[in-house]
Amino acid sequence: MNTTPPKHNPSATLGGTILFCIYLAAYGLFVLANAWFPDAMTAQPIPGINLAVFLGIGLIFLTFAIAAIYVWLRFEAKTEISSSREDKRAPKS
Amino acid sequence: MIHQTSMLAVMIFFFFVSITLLLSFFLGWRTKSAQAYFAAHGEVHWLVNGVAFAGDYLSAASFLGICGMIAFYGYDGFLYAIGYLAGWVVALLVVAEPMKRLGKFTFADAIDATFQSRDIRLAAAVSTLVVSLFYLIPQMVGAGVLIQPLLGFSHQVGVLLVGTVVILIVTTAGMVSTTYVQFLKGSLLLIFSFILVGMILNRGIQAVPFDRGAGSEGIGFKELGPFAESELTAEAVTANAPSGLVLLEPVGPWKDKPYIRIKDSESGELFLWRKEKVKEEWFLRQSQILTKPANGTSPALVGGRPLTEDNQLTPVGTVLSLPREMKDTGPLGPLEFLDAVQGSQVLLWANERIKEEDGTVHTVYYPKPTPGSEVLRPGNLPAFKGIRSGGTADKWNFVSLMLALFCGTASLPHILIRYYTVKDEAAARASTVVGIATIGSFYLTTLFIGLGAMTSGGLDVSDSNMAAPLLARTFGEWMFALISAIAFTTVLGTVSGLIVAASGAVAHDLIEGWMGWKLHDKAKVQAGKIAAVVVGVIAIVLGIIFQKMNVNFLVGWAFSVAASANLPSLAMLLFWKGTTRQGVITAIWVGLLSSLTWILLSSDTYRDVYGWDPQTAVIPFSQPGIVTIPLGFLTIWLVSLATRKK
Repeated sequence: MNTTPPKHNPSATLGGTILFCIYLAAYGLFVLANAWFPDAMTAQPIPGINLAVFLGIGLIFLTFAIAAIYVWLRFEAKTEISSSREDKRAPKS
Repeated sequence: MIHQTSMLAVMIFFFFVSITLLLSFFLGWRTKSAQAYFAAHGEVHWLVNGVAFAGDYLSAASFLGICGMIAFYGYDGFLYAIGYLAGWVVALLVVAEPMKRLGKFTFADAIDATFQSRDIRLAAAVSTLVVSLFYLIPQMVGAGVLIQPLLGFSHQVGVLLVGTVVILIVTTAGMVSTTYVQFLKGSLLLIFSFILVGMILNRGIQAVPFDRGAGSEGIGFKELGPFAESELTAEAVTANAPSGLVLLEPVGPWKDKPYIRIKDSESGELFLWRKEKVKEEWFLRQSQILTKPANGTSPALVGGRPLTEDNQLTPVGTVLSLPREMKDTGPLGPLEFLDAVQGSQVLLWANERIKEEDGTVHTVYYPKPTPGSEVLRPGNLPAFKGIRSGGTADKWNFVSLMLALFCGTASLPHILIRYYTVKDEAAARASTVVGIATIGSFYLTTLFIGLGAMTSGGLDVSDSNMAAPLLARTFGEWMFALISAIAFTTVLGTVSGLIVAASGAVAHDLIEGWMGWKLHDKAKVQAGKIAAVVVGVIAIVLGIIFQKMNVNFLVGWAFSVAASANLPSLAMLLFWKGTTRQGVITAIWVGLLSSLTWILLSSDTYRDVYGWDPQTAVIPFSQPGIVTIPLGFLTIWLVSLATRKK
């Protein structure tokens, strides 16, 4: 095992933190809305689907989106780190 | 309800078990080192590991519990699904990569990576064992409860069978076989859930009204009325019925209940009608009654006659009316299906327990026509009812549960050790994303499977856990056999993961880390296998002891205990440099003990475990997370400040 912290790209770490905050806020509001305004959840934002189901399914898709964006951020960060290493290795002209 | 044993289900179940055991014995040849036994060599492909995450995580509580809750209570079951999935965001963004980087075999490895402390190892190992045990009991009890109606074996045989198979899986190839069993289970569960949803949507929804009198075709239950209140007499029911029916006087516990009981003096059959007021009019609705005699040896009675294959509770689960006066929707798309449920009148069933002075217990199941719009809103589940009644404690109880689900996933030891089975941090991240995709897709299907069961006409009114298999039965014997066998595989996959986590905690953390015994590689594997057998035997014994107890709430508590004891230390170690050894140790013990104490003093435990009056409980609400998780963070912060070197 390795106990030394890895060198992360700050933009990916910041991106992960922002994504976490977005999800935490969305989940928190969803839970509080269900707890304190359960009757408001019967409103229909689109015909035939009430707010409770709409937000619930929306939160599941938000989880997919957060996971996809995070993977993309880390991939970008890895590409950046790799290219900066290659730049350092390249002979100076 | 007595379920007919399906030979096909028995054969498919034993086929699945044979495949998993053959796989385990085959992989056992390659599993000699501790690295192989506890971490599958660290070489599992991220895609396989991701699906195995789903196989590990989607326990019987997820599959049978959530589908059953939605089938009986609607939207509230889906809230659990959302909470269970939300925790995976914490796993991906907070713990996935550090766990892989810091640990080797167990959760304690990661927590103890910085300080190399025996006391941290002890605290983390005890926490792992407590959480694993909380999680194991409902899985084992669930195995016994399911095996009885589905395969025809007794509860004890079911628990023993599952326990033995799991011990064999774990002791042959440890994490290697566990991983592939979980991969198999995760794949099958997802594939067949989607197939089931396709069949539900293709069948659509049919409206079947109450029987309204002689000759009318309906659901098999009568509704009489409307009546004026003064007309609610036995004659209202017996007017057109054959002679020989006797009115039972409402005495004892029946005195103030809204029922009319009529007995056939010749056959002994008992007819029960519930008085219901709808706006200003009264109706009488035919109900079902299950009686359990006080002595416990006489057979249970259904409708006054002994429970037999020919006399059992009638299957339920119907829609009384559809939007636009439709009788049959025909095939529907997913959104059209939700729209149809939303606009329909669904017949849910509620129940009431009535206890006689001699100890005889009657359970009355009565129909409850409910608008689809109310089925799909929060607050129908008994545990969540308080959120619509305005009680603040009930609302906080709900918030506390959802917080525990959010924080608990990333703190469950049997989930965390799966990060050691991949080769690097990128693979840990990728497998978490695959896990999220698999688990999230499965949870989407639970909404349709649950609502499909609610409208399938095949539900057992006395057992919500059977909703998914009984829904499958309405599509034919093959589907029932496959879904039943998959339900058992869910138990095998999850229990295997839990036993690997517990055996690692004993062999690696307690024996080697805390007691200081230096074990060479082979001895460590042997210690792990012995620990797996011991934990497995304990799980079997507990599964048999807790047979009669409703233990599903233990899963929710496992999340609360894991989140309170493990997450504060893990998160603070990763994000705060000021964390000290004493802070970590104290936070684990405080989180563990405070959440356990809270649970033991809560109203749910008073009612379900001690059989005491829940009103006398010391703790205002049952879910500890909202208090004990912040308490864990506060503890580690304060103790670290007090003990850091100047």
